[in-house]
Amino acid sequence: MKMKQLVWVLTIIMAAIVITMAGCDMSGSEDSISRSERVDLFASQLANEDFDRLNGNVHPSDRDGGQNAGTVWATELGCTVNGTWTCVDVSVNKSGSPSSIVFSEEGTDYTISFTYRQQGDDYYFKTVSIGGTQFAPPTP
Amino acid sequence: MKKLLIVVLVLLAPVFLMAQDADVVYYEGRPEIRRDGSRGVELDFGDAVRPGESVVTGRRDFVELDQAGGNLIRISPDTVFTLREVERDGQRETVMSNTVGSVRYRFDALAGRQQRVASGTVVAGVRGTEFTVFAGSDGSSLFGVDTGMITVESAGVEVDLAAGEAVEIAAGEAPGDIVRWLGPALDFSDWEEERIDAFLDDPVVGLERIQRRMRDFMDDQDTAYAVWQESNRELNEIRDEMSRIREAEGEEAYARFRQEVERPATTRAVTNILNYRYFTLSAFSLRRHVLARMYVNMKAQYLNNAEASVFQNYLALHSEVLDEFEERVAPLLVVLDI
Repeated sequence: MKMKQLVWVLTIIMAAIVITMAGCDMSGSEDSISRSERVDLFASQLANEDFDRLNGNVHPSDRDGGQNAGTVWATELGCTVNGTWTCVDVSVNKSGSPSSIVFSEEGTDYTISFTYRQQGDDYYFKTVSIGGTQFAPPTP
Repeated sequence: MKKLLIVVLVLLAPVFLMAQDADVVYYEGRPEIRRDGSRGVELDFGDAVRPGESVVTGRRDFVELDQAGGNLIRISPDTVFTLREVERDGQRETVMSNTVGSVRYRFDALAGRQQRVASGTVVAGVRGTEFTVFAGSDGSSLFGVDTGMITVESAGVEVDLAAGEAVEIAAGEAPGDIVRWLGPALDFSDWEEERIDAFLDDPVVGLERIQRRMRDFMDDQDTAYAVWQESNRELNEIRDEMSRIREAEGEEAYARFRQEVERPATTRAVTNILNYRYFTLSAFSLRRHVLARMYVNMKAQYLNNAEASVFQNYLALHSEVLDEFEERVAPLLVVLDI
């Protein structure tokens, strides 16, 4: 290969690398989940009574599969369970975010507080306490 | 790290519980039971292990014991597990010890008892739901927590271990540094391929044993599910009463009733959900990690001989097991399980 051809090949390769790199988010944070975003996600699931997904916010190494069932969370948070759950009057107050939020069901408040564990760029809950008592992962 | 710790550790770790026999509910291989120092005899399903008796497992053996009250004891390969009866504070108690190897304990959270764990000169207090004790003969111990939390005390120093953590205690010493616990999860994903191959030496018999195991999980699941339904019915009645009290008697009476009656009933109901879920997820794990791999291995083995009677018999039984799973377990799974 002649010198001139080699220069052209190298130039094209360099251009390709630059174009590729420009399309990447080098901070790696674009899809990461901050603590506030984790609480927002949890709160929106609560507000939508999507209890079956709540345990997915707990760090995988802390997560107890038994609590994957939304019935566990719905029962603890005062909803009636008959086959599935029924919540009468749900509201979620995030004013304490990201360390705590308040879930209200039929006029009764449940303060839910969090500690965190990081995995890569994502924050998960290490513990979730309801009314001051650790609920997830479960304790004896 | 885990393997290193297991190799290094040699321990004697008795777990003190209320006096109870333990029944054999499942085993693999040819484990033995030794009674009063006699020669070992092969144990069988339904055998009761009583104080003074030991269960000895070989390299490919595994035993699961069940105690009344919901306690499960899983004895790993190459382990000597012994039940003894001792007197402590004027009460007779059963001592569970593994003089070598490892034993995994799952205590019924409802029982709420404080357990005592000792190892040579080390005495530790443990409260927890599911943990494993590795043991050897130099008096040191390794406690690893699978779920829940345990408190370990030794030489006047107390440490709390959460799920996924472990601590080593040398004889007579305070607990060491807490390390990440890489112990067994509530699943069968760590089953070795050779173990499945061993089942396939006689695939139909192997599958029948898996089926028995699966049915044990299903039966336990159904029993625990019925207990939860009853506690949930009670809870719903209590909550109706709580609403009535709020309207009729005001916020103070409501708060008192909630604290004294509704919250304990809620805790019972939640615990009962977790209890039936334990068996549901165990059955699911068995189906996903053992049944599925057995099936794939069989398909590969009989790829050019699909009409062989052993393969056809295997397929028929496999289908039967799956049908039962779909009927009894699948309805209780949720999206995050899958």
